[in-house]
Amino acid sequence: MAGINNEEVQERSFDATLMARLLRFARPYWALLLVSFVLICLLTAKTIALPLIVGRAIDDYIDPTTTRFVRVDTPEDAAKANAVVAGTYRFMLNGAWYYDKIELARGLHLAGTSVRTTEVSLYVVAPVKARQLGISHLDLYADAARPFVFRGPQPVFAPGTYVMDAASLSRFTPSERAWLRSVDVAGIRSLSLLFLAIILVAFAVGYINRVVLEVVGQRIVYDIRVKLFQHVERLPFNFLDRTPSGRLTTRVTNDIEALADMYSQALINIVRDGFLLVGVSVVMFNLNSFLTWVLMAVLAGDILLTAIFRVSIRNAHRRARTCLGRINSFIAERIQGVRIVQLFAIEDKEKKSFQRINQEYTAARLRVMLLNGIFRPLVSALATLATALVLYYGGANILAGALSFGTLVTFMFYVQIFFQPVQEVAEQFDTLQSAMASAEKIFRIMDEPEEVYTPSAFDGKVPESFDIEFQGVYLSYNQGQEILKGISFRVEQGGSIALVGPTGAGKTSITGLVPRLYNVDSGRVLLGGVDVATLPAEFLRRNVAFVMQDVFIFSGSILENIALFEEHPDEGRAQEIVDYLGMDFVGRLDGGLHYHLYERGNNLSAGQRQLISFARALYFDPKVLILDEATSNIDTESEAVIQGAIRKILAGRTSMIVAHRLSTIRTVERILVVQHGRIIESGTHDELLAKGGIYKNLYELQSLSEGQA
Amino acid sequence: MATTESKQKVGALRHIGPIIRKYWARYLAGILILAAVDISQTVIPGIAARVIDGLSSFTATKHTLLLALLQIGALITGITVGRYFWRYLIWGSARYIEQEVRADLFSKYLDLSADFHDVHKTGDLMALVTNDLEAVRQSLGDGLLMIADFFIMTTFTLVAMLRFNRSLTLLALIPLALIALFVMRVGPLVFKLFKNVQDAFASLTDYVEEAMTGMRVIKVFAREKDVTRGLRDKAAGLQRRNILLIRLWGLTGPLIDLLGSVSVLVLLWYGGVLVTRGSFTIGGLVAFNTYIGMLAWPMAALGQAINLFQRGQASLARINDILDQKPTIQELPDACALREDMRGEVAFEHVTFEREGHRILDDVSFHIAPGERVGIIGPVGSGKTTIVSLLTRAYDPSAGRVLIDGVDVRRYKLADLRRAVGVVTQDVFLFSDSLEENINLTDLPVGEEEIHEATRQSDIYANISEFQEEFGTIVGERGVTLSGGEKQRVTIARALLKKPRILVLDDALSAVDADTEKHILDNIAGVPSRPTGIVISNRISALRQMDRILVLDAGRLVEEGTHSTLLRKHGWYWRVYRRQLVEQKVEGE
Repeated sequence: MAGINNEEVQERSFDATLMARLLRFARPYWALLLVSFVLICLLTAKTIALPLIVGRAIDDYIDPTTTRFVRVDTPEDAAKANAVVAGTYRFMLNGAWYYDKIELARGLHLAGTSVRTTEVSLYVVAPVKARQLGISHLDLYADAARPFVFRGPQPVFAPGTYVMDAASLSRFTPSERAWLRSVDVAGIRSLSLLFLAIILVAFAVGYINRVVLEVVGQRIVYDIRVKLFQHVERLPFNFLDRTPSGRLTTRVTNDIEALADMYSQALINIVRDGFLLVGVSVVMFNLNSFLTWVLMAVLAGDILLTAIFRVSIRNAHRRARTCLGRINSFIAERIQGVRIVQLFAIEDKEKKSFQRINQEYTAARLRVMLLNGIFRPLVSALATLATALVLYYGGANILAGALSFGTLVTFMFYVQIFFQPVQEVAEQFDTLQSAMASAEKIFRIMDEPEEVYTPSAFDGKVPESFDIEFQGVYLSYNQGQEILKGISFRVEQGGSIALVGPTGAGKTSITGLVPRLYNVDSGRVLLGGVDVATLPAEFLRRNVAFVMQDVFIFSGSILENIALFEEHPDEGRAQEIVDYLGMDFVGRLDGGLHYHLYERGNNLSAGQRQLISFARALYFDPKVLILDEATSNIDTESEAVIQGAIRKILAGRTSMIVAHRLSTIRTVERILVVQHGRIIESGTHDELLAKGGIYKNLYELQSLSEGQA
Repeated sequence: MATTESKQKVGALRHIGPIIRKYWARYLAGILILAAVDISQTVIPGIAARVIDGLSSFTATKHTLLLALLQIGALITGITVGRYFWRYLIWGSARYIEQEVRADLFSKYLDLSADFHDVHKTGDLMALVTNDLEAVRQSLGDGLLMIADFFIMTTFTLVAMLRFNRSLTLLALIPLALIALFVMRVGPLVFKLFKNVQDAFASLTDYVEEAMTGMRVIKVFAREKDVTRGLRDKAAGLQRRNILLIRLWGLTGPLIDLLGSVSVLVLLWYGGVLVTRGSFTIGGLVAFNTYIGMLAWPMAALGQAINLFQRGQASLARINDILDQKPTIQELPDACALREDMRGEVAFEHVTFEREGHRILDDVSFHIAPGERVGIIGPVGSGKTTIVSLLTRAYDPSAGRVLIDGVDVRRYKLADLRRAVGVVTQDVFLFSDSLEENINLTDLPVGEEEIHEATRQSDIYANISEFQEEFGTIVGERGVTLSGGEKQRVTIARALLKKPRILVLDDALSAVDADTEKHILDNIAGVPSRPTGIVISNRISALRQMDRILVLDAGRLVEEGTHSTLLRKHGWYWRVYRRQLVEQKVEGE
C-alpha cells in the first residue's frame, strides 16, 4: 500500500560528489566494465563501418562509373580548354578531349572564357579488375579500333586502367556485359560477406555486452543492498525508535532498485552515444566536410530543440505523476474509509471530487502528449530534413563532379544514426537524475553512525559470573526527558527480581540497559562486576535473553522462529525445549516444528506465540533472562502452560521480570515498585502488602483480573 | 458460430463498449490522418530515388534538386502536423476512455456493500485501477495505433517497393517478417520472466519489511549475521532472475538490429547485382534502404501489439468482473423517506446475524425509546459493533427485524437512513484533507458556527485552535499527525455535526482520558434536541450514567438494567466494574 500512496516524484540534479560515491561501488567490477568498454568500441566501429562498406560497394562495384569528366567536342573548344587545364586533369579518348569538371570550371572562370561541354559517364575498369578479366580480351576491342575503350597510361588514371564511355556499355552483347561485370559481382559478393560477418559479430557482441552490463549492474546493486542492510542492522536502537520501519524498507528495496538502470544502462550508454557521435563526425569530415557542416547545423538545431523541450516535458511529466499519485491515494483512502463514506452517505460528493482530480490527471497527461506531439515529430522532421539537405547539397556536389554516389549514400546512411545519440543521452540523463535522488536517501542512512558493538574499552576479558547491579542510573531517550532518575539495585547470580508499576514508569527501560540496548546518561550497569559499556554487544545479547512483551513472529517454520535464522538449527535442542516447556500444541500441528507460521504468527493463538518466544529465549541457553510479561488476553488453556513455562525458564538464571501477573510475582525473591523513573518501594511480596502502598493496589487489581477470567 | 463469437465480444466490451463508442469519430479521424502521414512518408524515398537516378543520367539540374528539396520540405511539414493530430486523436481518446473507466470503477467501489469490502483487499482493488486500467489503456492507445500503423504502413510501403522491383522486395521482406515473428513469440516469454523478477522483488520486499519491523528482536538476540544471510539469498534470487530475464530480453535489441541489417545486406548483395545487370538503380537502392527502415518498427510493433492486446484482454476481464457486481444492500423500489421529524425510536426484534457459518448475533431483542440513552458492553467478539452495522444497514440481518420509529430499516431510503443515524466508528478514519473537510463530510453548506459548536461539544475545539492553520490544517500522511484521542474527538465532532436523531458511539472514547470522556458525554447529553443515544464501550465510567445498559456475550443479550441494578446482580458487569475501579486507583497515584 505504501508504494501506491507515496508516488512521490523522485528527481535530483546532478551531483558530482554523489556520483563519485556511486562510482566507488563499481570499482570491484572494473575488469568486466573494461570488457564492456571494448565491446562498445567494437559496436561503435560496426555502426560507423557499415555505411562505409555500402558506399565502397557502390563506388567500386555496383556503379563504377564516374561523372567527374566532361567531353569537349570541337577542336576550338579543346584548344581553349587545354590552355587552362593542366595535363594531369585531361585526357584524350577516341579523338575527343575529356576534362576534370572542377578544374575546367575553375580554369575557364579565371580565364574569363567558356566552352561547350557534354556530360558523360565513364565506365572505369581499374587495373586489378583488368587483370582479373584478362587484359588481352579487352585489348581485342581496343585493337579493333572500337571507339569506346581507352587504355592507360594517362596521367589522370593509374597505368593499366581501362576507361570507356558508359553509354557504350549497351553495345556489348549480354554475355559480354556479364563477362565485363563479373569482377564487379565478385566484388559485391566479397563486400557483402564482409558486411554479413560484421553484423553477425555485432549481434554476438551486442548481446554479450548487454548481458555483461546487466551482470555488473545487478552485482553492484546486490553489493549496495547487502551493505545497506547490514548497516541498518548495526544502527542503534535509538535510531530504530525514531525511524518508521517502512522507510527503511523502501531504502533497501525500491531506492536501491532505482540505481540498477544507472549502472547497467545509463552510464555506459552515455559513453557509447558520445563515442558514436564523435566517431561518425570524424569519418564524415574525412569524406566531405561541407556536407558534415550542414549536418552539424541540423544537429545544433536538434540539441537546441531537445534542450528547450526537455525541461518542459519533464515538468509536465512530473506534474502528471503527481496527479496520478494523488488519484491513487484518493482512491486507496476512499476504499479504506469506505465505511465512513457510506455511513455518511457522501458517495455522490466523493464521486464528484474524484471527477475533478481524475480530469486534472487526464489534462496533465494530454499536456505531456501535446508537448511530445510537437517535440517528437519535430525531431524526426529534422532528421528527414537532414536527409533532404544531404540530397540537395550532395546532388549539387555530384553535378559539380566533387562527390561520388557511394559517398552520398554513405552520408544518407549516417544521417539515420547521427541524431539518435542526442535523444538517448537526454533520456539517460533522466535515469541519472532519479538515481541521484535515490542515492541521496540511501547515503543519508549509510551516514548514520553505527552502534558500538565492541567498545574500545573492552579488554578481552568477559565476566564469568552473572549478577546484575545498577548504580545510580539515569537515562533519557530525548534530551531533557529523563525516563530513569537514579535507579540502583542489585540482583545476585541466579537470583530474581520483579519490576512492577504503572504504564510508562520506566520498567522496560531498566531491563533494556542490561543487554546495552541503550547507553545510560550517567551511572553504571554492571554485569558480573563489569560495566556493560565496556563489553561487546554480541557477548551481552548472547548471554542475556530478552522475552519481549509483544512477541514478534517471523514468517517461517516454528523451528526457524525458535532458532531465529540460525543457519543449521539444532532441531533436537528445539524439540527438547518444546517438550520441556510443555508446548504440546506443536506436536498437534501439521509438520510439528516445521509447521509454517504466517507473517506476525497469525495462525497461532496469543498464548502459543508467547510460548514460542520463551523457547526462543531458551534456545541459546542464556545466563540472564529478562521477561517482559505479556498483558494481552491469553486463552485459559494456554494460561496454565505459560505459568508453568515461566517458572521453568527462570530456574537457575539471574532474572528480571516486568510483571503483570500475580502468580509470577509470588515466586520472585524481591519486588521493585517503579514509578516516574524511580524505585519507590521494594521488598518481598508480604513486606509490600503489609506496607499498604501502591503495591497493595496493584495486587488487588491483579487478583480481580484473574478472578474475572 | 459467428453469433456466439460476436456475443462473446460484446460480452468483453459490455462495460467499455459504450464509452469507446463515444470516441469512434476521433479514432476514425486519427486513423485517417495516420494513413495520410504514412502515405506521405512512403513518397519521400521515391523523390530521393528520382534525384539520385537523375544525377546519374544527367537529367538532374540545380533546379530539379531544389524542387525535390521543397517537395520533401512540404511533406515533412505535413507529416509533422499530421503526427501531432493523430497522437492527440488516438492516444488522447485512450486517455479519455481511461478516465471514464477509472471513474466507473471508483463509483463501483463506493457503491458496493460492506460484504464486498470485507473480502477484497485494498491492494487488489488498487491493482485494478492502476495496473489493469493501464493495460487496457495501452491496448486502446498504443495497441490500436500499432495495428493500424502496421497495416497502413506495410501496405503502402510494399506497394511503393513493388513498383521498384518485385523479387528484391520479397527477398528484403523475409528478415523483417522474422522480426514480427520473433517479438510475437518471445514477448509472452519475456513477460513471464519479467513477472518472475517482480515476484522475486516482492519476496525481497516482504523479507526486508519483516526484518525491519522485527529488527529489535534480531538485535536483542544478536542474530544480525544470520538475518543478513537471508537477505543475501533474497537479493541473489532477484539478481539471478534479472540476469535470466536479460538473457532473453537482451536478445531483442541486437536481434532486431541484425534482422534489419540482413535486409540491408540483401539490398546490397542482390540489389547490387541487379544494378550491374541494369535492372535496378542506385536511387532504388537508397529508397529501399529507407523503406526497410520504415518497415522494421511496425514489424516489431505488430508482435508487441498482439501481446498488448492479450494483456489488455485479461485486465479488461478483471475490470468487468468488478463492474458486474451489484451491491447486496439495496434500496427497495418503493422505499420511503425518513422524515426530518422522526422520533428516533430503535427496536431489534429477534435479530440473528450469521456470517460464514458463524452466528454473530443470536436472537437479540431490545427496544430503545426516543431520546433514551443506552450503553452496550461485552467482551471482544460479543457482537456489539454488529448491532451498529445492522442499524445502518451495512448488512441486513439473517433473521428478525431492525426497526426505527416502528418501521423496518429496509423500507427506508438508504441515504436517509444513514444520514439519520450518526455513528462514530471504533477505528477512527480521517482522510488526508483539512480538519474542516474531515468534520464536515457532506457537501451541504454548514455554517462556521455549527462546526465550532460540534468541535466544542466533542472537546477538540481548543486543540484545533492551537494549530496554525486551525480548521484548515491538513491531517494524515502529508500533514499533521494527530494523537489517537484527538482523532477520536474529531470523528465525534463529525457525527455531531450531522445533528442525528440517533447517535451511536462505538468505543469512540477509548483513547481519551477519563475526565475528557465525562466531559464529552455530558456535552452530548446536553444537546437540546436530545437524540437517542447508543454508547458502546468497555469502560464502565462511560456507561454508568446511561439510562440503561445492555450486556452482550457471544452474540446474546445476557444482562440488562441500569448501572445500579446490574451491580446488584453480581454478574459479569459487576466483575468488570470492580477491576476497573482498582485500575483507576493505580493509574491515578
